[in-house]
Amino acid sequence: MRSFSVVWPDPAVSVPLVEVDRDALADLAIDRVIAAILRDGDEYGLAPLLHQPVRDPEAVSYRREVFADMADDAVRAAFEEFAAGMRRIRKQLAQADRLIHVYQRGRWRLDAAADYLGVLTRLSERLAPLPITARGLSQWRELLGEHVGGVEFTELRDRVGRVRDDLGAVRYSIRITGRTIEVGADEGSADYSATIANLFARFGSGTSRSTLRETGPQWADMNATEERILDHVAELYPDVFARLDEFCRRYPEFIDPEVARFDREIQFYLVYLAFARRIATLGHRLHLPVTRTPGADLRATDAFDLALATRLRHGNTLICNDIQLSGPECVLVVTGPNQGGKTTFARTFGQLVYFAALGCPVPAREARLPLPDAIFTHFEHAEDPGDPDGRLLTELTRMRDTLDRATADSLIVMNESFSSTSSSDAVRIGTDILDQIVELGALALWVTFFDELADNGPAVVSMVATTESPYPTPSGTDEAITSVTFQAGSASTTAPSPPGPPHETVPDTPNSGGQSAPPTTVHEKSEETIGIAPCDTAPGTPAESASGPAVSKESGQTVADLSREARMTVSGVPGAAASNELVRRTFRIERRAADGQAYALELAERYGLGYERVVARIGR
Amino acid sequence: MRVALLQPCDAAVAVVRAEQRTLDDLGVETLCAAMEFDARGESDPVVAEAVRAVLSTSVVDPEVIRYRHAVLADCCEHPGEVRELYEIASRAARVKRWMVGPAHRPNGKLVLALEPLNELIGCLRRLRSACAGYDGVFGSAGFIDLLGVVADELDEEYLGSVERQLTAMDFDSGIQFCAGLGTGNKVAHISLHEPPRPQRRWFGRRAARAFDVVDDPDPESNPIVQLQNPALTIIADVVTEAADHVQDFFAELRTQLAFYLGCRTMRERLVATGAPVCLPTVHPAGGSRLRCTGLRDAGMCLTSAGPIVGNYVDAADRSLIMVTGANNGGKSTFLRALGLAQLMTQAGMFVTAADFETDVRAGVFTHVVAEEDRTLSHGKLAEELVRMSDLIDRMTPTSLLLCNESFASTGARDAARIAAPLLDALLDSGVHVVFITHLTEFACHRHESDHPHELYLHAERLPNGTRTFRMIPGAPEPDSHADDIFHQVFNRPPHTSTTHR
Repeated sequence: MRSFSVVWPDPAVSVPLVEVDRDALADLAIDRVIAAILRDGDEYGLAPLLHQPVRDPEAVSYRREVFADMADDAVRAAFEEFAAGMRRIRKQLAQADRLIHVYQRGRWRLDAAADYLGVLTRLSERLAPLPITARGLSQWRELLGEHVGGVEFTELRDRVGRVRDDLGAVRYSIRITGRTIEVGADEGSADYSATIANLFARFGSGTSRSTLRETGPQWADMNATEERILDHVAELYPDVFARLDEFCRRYPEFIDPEVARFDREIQFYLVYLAFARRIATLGHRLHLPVTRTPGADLRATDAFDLALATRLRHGNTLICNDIQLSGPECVLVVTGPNQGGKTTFARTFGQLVYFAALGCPVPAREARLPLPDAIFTHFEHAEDPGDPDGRLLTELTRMRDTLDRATADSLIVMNESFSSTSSSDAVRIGTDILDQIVELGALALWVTFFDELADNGPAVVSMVATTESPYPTPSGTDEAITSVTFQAGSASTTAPSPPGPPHETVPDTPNSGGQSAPPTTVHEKSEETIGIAPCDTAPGTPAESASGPAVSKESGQTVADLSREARMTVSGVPGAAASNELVRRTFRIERRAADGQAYALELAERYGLGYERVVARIGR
Repeated sequence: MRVALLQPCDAAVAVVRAEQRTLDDLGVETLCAAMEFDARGESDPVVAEAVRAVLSTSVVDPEVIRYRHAVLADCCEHPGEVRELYEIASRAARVKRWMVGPAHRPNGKLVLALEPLNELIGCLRRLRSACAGYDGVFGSAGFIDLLGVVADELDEEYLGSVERQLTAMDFDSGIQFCAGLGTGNKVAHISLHEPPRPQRRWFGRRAARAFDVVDDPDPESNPIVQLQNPALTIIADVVTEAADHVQDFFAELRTQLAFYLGCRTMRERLVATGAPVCLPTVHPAGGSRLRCTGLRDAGMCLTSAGPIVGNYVDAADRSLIMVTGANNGGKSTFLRALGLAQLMTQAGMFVTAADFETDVRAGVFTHVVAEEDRTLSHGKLAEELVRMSDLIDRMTPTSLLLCNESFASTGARDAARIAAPLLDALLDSGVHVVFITHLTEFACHRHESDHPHELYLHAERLPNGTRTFRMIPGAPEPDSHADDIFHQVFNRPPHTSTTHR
C-alpha cells in the first residue's frame, strides 16, 4: 500500500505549526483538556499530535472534512469497529508471542491473521456505500479497496482459510483410565450427554443451556499433559499441522504498515469525538469552526470553557458566552468583579483558537476563528515569588519577550497583568502595552481590574462581567461562580461600566442565604448581551435561597430581569433528577412572587395532573 | 410438568401486579402474617408466602377467578386428601441440594447432582401412588388436570428407565470422549461417550498413543481432573437441571396448595370470630357493579379482639365514592376493607363480607398520604403530586384508585383546585375512584352539582358524639367533628382560640 496519512494531507511535507509554550497550555487549561481527551490512556501515542496545532489552512480543513464525515454515526461506527478489531488482533499476536508450544503459537497467529483479513474486508465493505466526502477518508477507502482486492491479500486469505478449515475438521478420541491417557482416532460414538438430556426432557431439562454451553479455556497456555495430547493429535494428522508450520514460516508479519498507521491516526478523530460525546451528555456540544479569512469578523456563539465542562456534574449546565470582533477591533478588554468568570472566559477564548487550529470541533455552537502563528499567555500566578517590584520586573520582561516575538497573526491572552503595582502605575503601564499590541495588530484578550484600559479607541472592545443575581456560593470550587453578564460594545459608543472601580461597586460573592442581593446592573444602552458565566451550583442549594425571604423584592428586579436570569442560571437538563428540576421550578416561582394558589395549580400542571394531560396519559 | 391449580393450563392470563406500596397501604402484610397460622395456631410460612404472592397479582379475567373458586371448593370438601398432597410436595421441596462436597474428585460434581435426583424420583413415586387413589374424588378442573398430568407423565415405565440410567451413570472404569481443536489448539468441542465397561486390557497390549500422567494431589492443577471435568460437567449439569425441574414442580405444587389451604384456614378462623365470609360474585371489567353487605377488613378481623362493624355499600352504576365525615369514624378502615376485598376477589379468595359483588378492575392503586416526608428533598405537596403522577403512569381506564386524604398537605382551596380537574379526568377516562377526604367544602360543592354517577358516604356520628364506624349515604356534612375528639382526649371543649384555624 502506498504511503498515506489521514491527519496530514501530504505525509511527506511538514507544515507550519502554531507556537504554544507550556505556560500557555497550563494557563488556558488546555493541558487539562488534553488529559481529559486521553482519559483512558494514550495507547496510540496521540499526545504529540494533540500538542501540535497547525497554521496551515489546508491541513486544518483536511481534518475538519474528516470530522464532518465522522458526524455520521454509520461512518464513525465503521471505524470504531475497525479499531476494536485491530486492538483484538494486537492482543492475539501478543498472546501468541508468549506461548511456547509451536502449534499453539501457530494457531494463535493463524487465527489473528483470519481476524485481520475479516476486519479489513469488513471495513472496506462497510465504507463502500457510506456518504464519504472528506479527502482523507475517500482516499483511504480507495486505497483499502485496491488492497483488499489485490493479489497479495487474496492469496493470504485463501491460505489462511484452508489451514483453518483443516484444523477445524480434526477430531480425535481421548480415553482416561486411572492415570493413563490414550489418544486415538474418533470412532464416531453417540453423544452420551444428548442421551441423558433426552431422558430428562420430560422434566423440561437438557436441551437449552447445558449442552450448548461451551466455555473457553481458562488459560491460553498448556500444561504438559495438554501438550502431549496435542503432539499425539499432530501425529494423527501430520499433513494438517505441516500446513500450519508453512503458514507461520511464510507470514511472520501480515499487518500492512500503512494499515497500522491508519489504525493509529484514525484514533485522533475517534478519541476526540468520544471526548466530545462525553461533554455532550453533560449538556454541551462541540461544533466545527470555520477559518477566519482576512477582513472577516471573528465570532463565536455560545462558547464555553472545555476544562470546566469536563468537570461538570450531571444536571448542571454551563452558561455560554458570545464573542465578536469586527473591522478594526482586535483587543477584548474584560473587566468586572472577582469570581466573575472572567478567567473562564479568557480560557474559553484561547481554547477556541487552539482546538480550531488542531482541526477539531470547538466548544461553541458556531465559530469563525483565525489560525495564529503563536498563542501567548500572561496569567498572573499567585505562587510567583519575590517582592512586588521583582514581580513587576519579571512580568514586564516576559511581556517584552512576547511583544518581540508576536506578530500581527499572534494571539495574546492576558489575565490580571500588572496588578502587583499601584493602580495609577498599572494603568499607565497597561495603556502603553495595550497601545503596543494595537499597533502590532495582534489579536488579544485582556482580563483586568482597570476600566481605564477598556476605553482605548476603535481597536479595543470592552466587555464587563456583571453580577446579575444573588446565587449562593457553591462550596469547593474556585471556578467562576456568580452569574455574570459580559456586555460588549465598543467603548467609544457605550457607557462601558458602572462608575468607579467595579470591585467597589459590586460586593463580594453573595452568601448562600441569598440575603445580600447585589445591586442590579442593568445596561440600558448595551448593544448586545453576551450571556453569562458558568454557575457550578450544587443541586439543592437554590432551594435554600428560594426559601429565604423574598429575594426578588429586595433586589428590586423586574419580572423581565428574572425571566432572563432564569434562562441563564444553572438549570436542570432534561432527564435530570426530578428533585433537581423541582428545585429549579420552585425557585423561579418564588422569585416571581406568585400567590400560593397559582403555585399549587401550576405545580400540579407540571406533574401532568391537569385534566387534558391525565386523560391523555390514562387513555394512551 | 405443569401445575395448573391457579389457572387453566396453557392459558395466558392477564394480571396486574399490585405495587408494594399499595399492599402496604391496604394492610396486606397484616393479613398474610395472620394467615401463616392455622386454626390450631401452628405456623407455616409457606402459606403466608403463597398468599402474599397470589394476592399481589390480580387476575382480570372472571373465568379464572371462577376456576379458582372451584378448586377452593374441592379443598374445603376434601381437606385430608389435599393435606396429603401438600405434605408430599413439602417433603420433596425440602430435599437438600448440596452445592459443595467432594468436588475435587474427578466426578465429584456428578455425584453431588445424582443423590438428590434419586431422592426426588422417590417423591415422584409417592405422588403417583397418592394420586392413583384419588380417582373421582375431585370435581374441579384444576385438580382433575393435576391427576391427569401425574398419571400421564409419571408412568412406571418411565420412572423405572430413569432409575436404571441413573444407576448406570458411573465412570469408575474411566471416561472416554471425542474432541476437536479449540482456541490455541486446546482440547475443545467435547462429546462424551457412554461410560466404558471395565476392561482387562491392563493385562494385554498397551495402545500406541497412551501415556501416564503424574498425579497431582491439588485438584486445581491435577491435569486429569482438568481434562475430564469439562466432559463430566456437561452431564452433571443435565442431571442438576433435571433435579431443579423436578424440585421446581414440587415447589410450585406446594405453593399453589398452600394458597388454598391458607384460604380454607382463613375461613375457619373468620367464622370462629363471627365475621361473615363469602365467595364473591365477579363481573367482567368495564361495568360499575360494586355492592356489598357486612364488608369488613379481613386483617383486622383476624387480629383484633373485639367485634368489627360491617358496612353496606351499593355503588352500582357509580364510579366515584366520596367519603367524608367524622375523624376516627372508620373511613380509613372502610377504604382498606374495600381495597383488600377487591384484591382478594381478584385473587380468587373468600372475602370478609356477607355478600360481595364487583366487576374486575385492572389493578387497585392507592394514594395515601405518607406519614412523613421520607426524602426531604421535596415538599410534601410535591411528593403527593409525584406519587399521583406515578400512579397515572401505571393506571389504565379500568383501574381502581383509592385515595385517602389526598392533597391534605396544602390548603383546602388549593387542594380542591387540584382535585376537581383530576377527578373529572380520572372518571371520564373510566377509572373508578374512592376518595376519602377532609375537603368537606369541596365535597359539598360537588354533591350539589349534578353528578349522577357518584356516591356520597359519610362516617356516621350519633347525636351524642358516638361513632358507629358505619359509612352511610347522604350529603356531606360541613364539619368534621374534631371538637369531639378533642373533648374525648382533653375532657373539655377546645378554647375558641385553638379551634380558630
